[in-house]
Amino acid sequence: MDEDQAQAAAKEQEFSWIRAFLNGDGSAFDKLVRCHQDKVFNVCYRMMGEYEEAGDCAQETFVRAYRALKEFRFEARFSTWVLTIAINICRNRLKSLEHRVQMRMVRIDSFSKASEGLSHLEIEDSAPDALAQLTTREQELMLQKTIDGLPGDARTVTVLRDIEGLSYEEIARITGYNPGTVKSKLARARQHLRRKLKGLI
Amino acid sequence: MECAEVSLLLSEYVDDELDPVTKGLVETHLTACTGCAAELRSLQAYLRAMAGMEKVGAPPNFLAAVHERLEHPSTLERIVRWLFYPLKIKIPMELAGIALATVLLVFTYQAPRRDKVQSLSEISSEIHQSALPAEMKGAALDKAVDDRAASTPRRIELTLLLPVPKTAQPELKRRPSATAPLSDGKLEAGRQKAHEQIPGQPSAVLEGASAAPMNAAKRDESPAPLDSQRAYELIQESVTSLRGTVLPAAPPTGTSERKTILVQIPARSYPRFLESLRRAGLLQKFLEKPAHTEQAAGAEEPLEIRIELIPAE
Repeated sequence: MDEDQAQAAAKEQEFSWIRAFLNGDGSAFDKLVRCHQDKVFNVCYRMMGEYEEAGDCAQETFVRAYRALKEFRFEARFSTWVLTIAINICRNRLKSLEHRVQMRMVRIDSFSKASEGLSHLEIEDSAPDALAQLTTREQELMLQKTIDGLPGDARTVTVLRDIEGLSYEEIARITGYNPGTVKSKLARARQHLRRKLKGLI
Repeated sequence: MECAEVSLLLSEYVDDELDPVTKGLVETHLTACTGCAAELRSLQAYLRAMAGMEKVGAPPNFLAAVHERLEHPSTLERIVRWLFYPLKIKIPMELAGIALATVLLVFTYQAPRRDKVQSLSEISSEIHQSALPAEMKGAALDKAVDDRAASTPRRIELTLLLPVPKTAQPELKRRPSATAPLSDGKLEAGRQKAHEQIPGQPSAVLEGASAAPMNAAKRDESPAPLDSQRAYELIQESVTSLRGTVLPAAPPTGTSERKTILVQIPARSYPRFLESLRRAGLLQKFLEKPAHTEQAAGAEEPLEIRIELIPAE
């Protein structure tokens, strides 16, 4: 209940900043950016898999939000609205950079050939704590590369649910899928990722 | 509940998205099935790993970078905004790309077409002045345009009607092929006209010797009747005198009705060759001066002439 109240308060705060912005207070937009920039940046980073690309997508997200804010309907939360913009930008960018994405797609069984210090990742050990034997940096790289291998829609639901922890309803609103589609896409993406990470988790 | 079914529901189960009844069925299965229980543990480990990934925050200068982009948009952004935003239409870039590619294709396609149309108008005016039957003009026009565009080797098709005796019936039936479309680069002529066609050159019309009987009264000299063998000999003599050759690949062939001769002469000798045909009575006169004659005369390369002789019946 406290969480719901906190959510409602945060939502109202966002709405007041947006109204202030629409009334000519430019600094209100800066508050919105500061409040949501980390979440947006992380989503962009996990979607794109590259820091530079993530920065570019996140900046573009807020630029578009700035220009489209007068069309905000005060129904959903600003975070949902701005993440919708971010996901659209990332997915369009991924489509246009498809060949680069394909270059980054790394099979889990070819990690031994990767050039990022992961040559010792040919782990046959199926112990549940195999992942824990890796350093945090190595885990990050391995998980990110596995996510990079997912197609755009599966990657989107995985990032929004399993990394950002958004609800199915929020994901449906952001992606435009119905909740049933979100569930099935998420289930398939998880199965795929677990198969790729078999022996490590 | 079967393992396959449980496997599909595990994702919703860990997210607590199942209705109570289904959730109960899954839990009952999990207590009895070690395989599915292991799969659940694997899924939970995966979720822990994903949730534990580092949250990569925006760099400290992020807000300043956003302001920079707002105040100084890139050239591409300015163009896109100028093109699409005033219209309030969301045009995907793919669509814009397709439209651009279509425009480019149309322009690329139209460029040679415009040249062709220009040639067409030139040729059309030339043919318009000729005495070709109306139904042949279109075909001759197309043929001339195609030949000019194709820039095929210099070759002339010449169809000659052999003179008929004065007593012959001047009422001549029109051959069906006279109105048929051109085929294989050969232009069929009507019985009353011989028509020559040079690839890459405008067409011209020659009045065949067969017209002589109809105009005999108006002429001082009327050509003597010729059979195809005699016509062949006359042509051979003419070609030899012009330092040309009758190509061995094309002896006088065909039935008694039609014979075909293929000769090669220097291009500059073409007017003299036509004149020799006229003197031999195979050709009465030009309906108009063939536009290509001078061009052919100016050329140095060999000129192939395919002559088809059609004897009068």
